[in-house]
Amino acid sequence: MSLLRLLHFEALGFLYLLAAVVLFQIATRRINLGGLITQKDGSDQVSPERIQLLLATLAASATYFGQVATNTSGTLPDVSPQWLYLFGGSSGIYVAGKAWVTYNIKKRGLGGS
Amino acid sequence: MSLMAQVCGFVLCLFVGALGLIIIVYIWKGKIDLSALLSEANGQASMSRFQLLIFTFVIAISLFEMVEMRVNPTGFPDIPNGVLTLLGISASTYAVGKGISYSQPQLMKPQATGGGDGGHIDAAVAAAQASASQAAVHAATAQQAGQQAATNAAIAQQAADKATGS
Repeated sequence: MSLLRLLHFEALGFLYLLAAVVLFQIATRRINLGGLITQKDGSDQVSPERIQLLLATLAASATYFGQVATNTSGTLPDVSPQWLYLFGGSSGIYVAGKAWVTYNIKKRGLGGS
Repeated sequence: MSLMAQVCGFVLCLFVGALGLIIIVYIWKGKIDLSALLSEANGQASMSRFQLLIFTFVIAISLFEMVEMRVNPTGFPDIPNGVLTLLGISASTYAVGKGISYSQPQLMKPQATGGGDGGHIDAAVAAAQASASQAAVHAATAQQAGQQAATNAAIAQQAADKATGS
């Protein structure tokens, strides 16, 4: 086994092990996922913009992994512009929703004081 | 010279491997604490951190998988512009989200919720309440014992007085 190949397996092994440990800690709740999809204004309601971003993230990741798995050219597959538009839009909605919630909290705070 | 390069390469491989293994073991044992990996300052999980974590793993693992598939592995593989744009959108979302959150300090105060750190806070409050009620029971018992001792002392005093009088 060449040195390059050994180093490559070490790096890939480290990444897979790290991903497995992070997943395990998320599953056993040592890494906190509480409040991931809820509003941060204290109401604890489910936030639609967070759910759509979560779905877009998982869909984009799964699609890209699928492309990598079927790719035999030895180069990283490109992400199609459609996916970039979708993901950019999804992130924009999330940021706009977050800004709206923060603006409302600020307004309530100013009104109350 | 070639032998020297080979030895240095193996030492480097060994060092990198050992370093990676130690990091994984320390994370597993909790010496490297990842509990706040996805949390904001208020203790709740951050969607943008979660997204960045997923994309980082996906791109990093994909990159190394591609290196494995290359026929002539010389140099670092090219990263397409689409991938860079995707990571850029993700990182920008994270940065803008942080900016919005920190513009309102009230949002970043620790909150007690049902899960994660909030659950620990609830458990600590419940334990403190249980300890307080136990302490109250002990205090009442001690007070009763004190009263009993005072009564016994009074009886003994009376008995002593009687004995002295007779």
